[in-house]
Amino acid sequence: MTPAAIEHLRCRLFLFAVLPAMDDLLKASEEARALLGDESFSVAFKTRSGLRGAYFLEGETCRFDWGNAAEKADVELFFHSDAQANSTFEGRKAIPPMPTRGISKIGRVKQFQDIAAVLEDFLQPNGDALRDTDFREAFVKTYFGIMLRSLCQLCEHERVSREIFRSGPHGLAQFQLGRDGVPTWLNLVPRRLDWGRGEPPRTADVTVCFNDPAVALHALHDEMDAQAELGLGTLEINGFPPLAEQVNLLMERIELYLPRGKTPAGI
Amino acid sequence: MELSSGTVSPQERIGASNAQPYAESMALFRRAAQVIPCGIYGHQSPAATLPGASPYYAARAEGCRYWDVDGREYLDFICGYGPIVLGYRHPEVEEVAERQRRDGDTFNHPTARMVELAERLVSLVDFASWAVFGKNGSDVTSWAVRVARESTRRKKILRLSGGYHGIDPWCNHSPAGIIEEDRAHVHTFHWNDLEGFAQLMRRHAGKVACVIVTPYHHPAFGDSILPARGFLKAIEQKCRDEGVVLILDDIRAGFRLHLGGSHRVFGFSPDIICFSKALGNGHPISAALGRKELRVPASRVFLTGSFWNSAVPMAASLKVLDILERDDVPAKLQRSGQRLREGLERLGTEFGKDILGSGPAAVPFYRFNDESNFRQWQRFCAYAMEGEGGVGAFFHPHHNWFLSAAHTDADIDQALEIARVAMQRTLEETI
Ligand SMILES: Cc1ncc(COP(=O)(O)O)c(C=O)c1O
Repeated sequence: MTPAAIEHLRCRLFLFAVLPAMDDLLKASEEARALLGDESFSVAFKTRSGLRGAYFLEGETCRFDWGNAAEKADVELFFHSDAQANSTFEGRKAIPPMPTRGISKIGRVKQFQDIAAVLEDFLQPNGDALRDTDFREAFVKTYFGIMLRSLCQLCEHERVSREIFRSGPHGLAQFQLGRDGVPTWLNLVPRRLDWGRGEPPRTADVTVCFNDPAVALHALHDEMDAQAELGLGTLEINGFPPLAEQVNLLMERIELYLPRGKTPAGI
Repeated sequence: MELSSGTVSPQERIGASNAQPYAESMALFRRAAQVIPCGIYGHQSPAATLPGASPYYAARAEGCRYWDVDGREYLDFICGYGPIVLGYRHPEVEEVAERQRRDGDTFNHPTARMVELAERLVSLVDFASWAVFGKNGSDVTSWAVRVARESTRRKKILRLSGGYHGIDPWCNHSPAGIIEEDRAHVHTFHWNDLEGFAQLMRRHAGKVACVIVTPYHHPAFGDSILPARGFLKAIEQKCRDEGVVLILDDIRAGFRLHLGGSHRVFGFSPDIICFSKALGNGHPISAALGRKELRVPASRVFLTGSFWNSAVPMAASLKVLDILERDDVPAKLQRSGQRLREGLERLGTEFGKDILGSGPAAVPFYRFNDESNFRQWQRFCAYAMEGEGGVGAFFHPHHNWFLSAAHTDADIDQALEIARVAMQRTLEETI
């Protein structure tokens, strides 16, 4: 892959996989909600390379849209290059994007940036935060959402992932924290690639159940001895294990574009 | 319609029906997880079977039965994942092994057993004029590939998609610890896809060192598939035309279908054949045998290991081969495998839940016909392992099973009774 193609893919992941996690953030973080206050606000990003994503923030929700709805956003910002966008999203020094609509509301972009900064901190919690069970669950849910959105992007837009995806196995994988946890599912099926939360559209072909949130955390950070956890029962896989392996294989590719954090020691 | 949400696991069901049936296994595993990556790694990892709903550690075995560390007894249909072809602790084999052990096992030199075993194997395998030995299947499959490269001075290896030939980088299925270059010259084709194979041969014309096949396709997590008429013969012909070495990996099926190699059953002739598993009836040994024309390249490719020439497994193998021949064990395995297959099929019909058997009856793969994700089949196998009155049947949910000569009709019938109860319990969860 050329450096430009890598930047493009990374930009795609920021726009379509990471920033949409603001929805989970607003539900989980008082700090983020306080920054938004009672007002609603929306911002759209556009890149010269043709990527476009819009985020409609209101109360506890951030609705993400990548279609024409972007035109309804209060403010639209244009990036001349994917690299410029990525630097901005990663908080590195970058030329600011150019407002192409909603100049009068441009001040509120700061609010969006502040919430994005909260998201960044939220995704790199310290050990103390992670010892809190509620936070840990919210973190795993948010992080997992980012991973699944990223995975879907890679399966469509990255050659190696596309090949892995195409070669199968295919099917519906379900993930949950605890046997009674709310399922998150991934339909890893060509032309029906999708993910969601809640009951899956049909009985899953494989169910991966983390009986210990700390184990889920280690899994997300790629620091888990899966076979040992399976043997111990802290992780359960029922149904078709090769499908779970396939998901794992694809998740490992995400790291090439969005480096994963490390679990703080002691968790 | 299934009543369960699909998220209730075999572990939960087993846990609900019988408190801690595998407590000792679990206690050992907890210790293992502290000091051994994976706790148990590889094919014997609980992760590959039914974690929490199957035994993890064995204590002893006899014939076609073994006991786990919790004292539970199993009628075994995995046979140590293949090696046990005559039954655990076969008295005649163990007597010979014990005699050799008294004389010594690992020396500065091989013993006469090595020569005797090579002679014996060469006499059994129609195309072979030489034999070498290792410990595990991977030792000889990887070595055979190197011999093919040495012989042809070519790089490419063609292998079956979804086939298993061992743990080495060129052939294992895991991406971990592998660099792209390890597999840069390894290309796959699909079982029974002759056109795909021919295309691959064309694409790499003049560069292919070897084609490695199994006698039939036996993937994990999938039905076994016999070769379509002429498939393997056509591969052989193509290899002959192009000067490519044809390797038969007969590690799984070897000696269970035919004493002279499984190619004899499927009507083709390879250049190298690899054996392991059944050869030693549990004693660690593998072998590669080859054609006269490959003898010189075979002599050049380095091959050794600290324990590879040890005498006890070789002495045991000599006895195993005698018994396999004397008792016509492949025919016996076919008969008991067929009894099991017919029994399971009858059970399926009776309960309106088809059990699909594939592959040879002596090395069969089973699953419920109406599902490909193994969910209910895993429960069935968990219940079979739990068994009745302290005796279970070790039915593997995702791997082919193995029959041994120690399975009597009565053992098969007892296993079928266990299967009946397991079926009832599995179907009680559905309406
Ligand atoms: C067909 C086949 N080839 C090779 C091997 C590798 O043998 P080993 O595990 O003894 O290295 C196996 C093991 O299951 C096998 O089934």
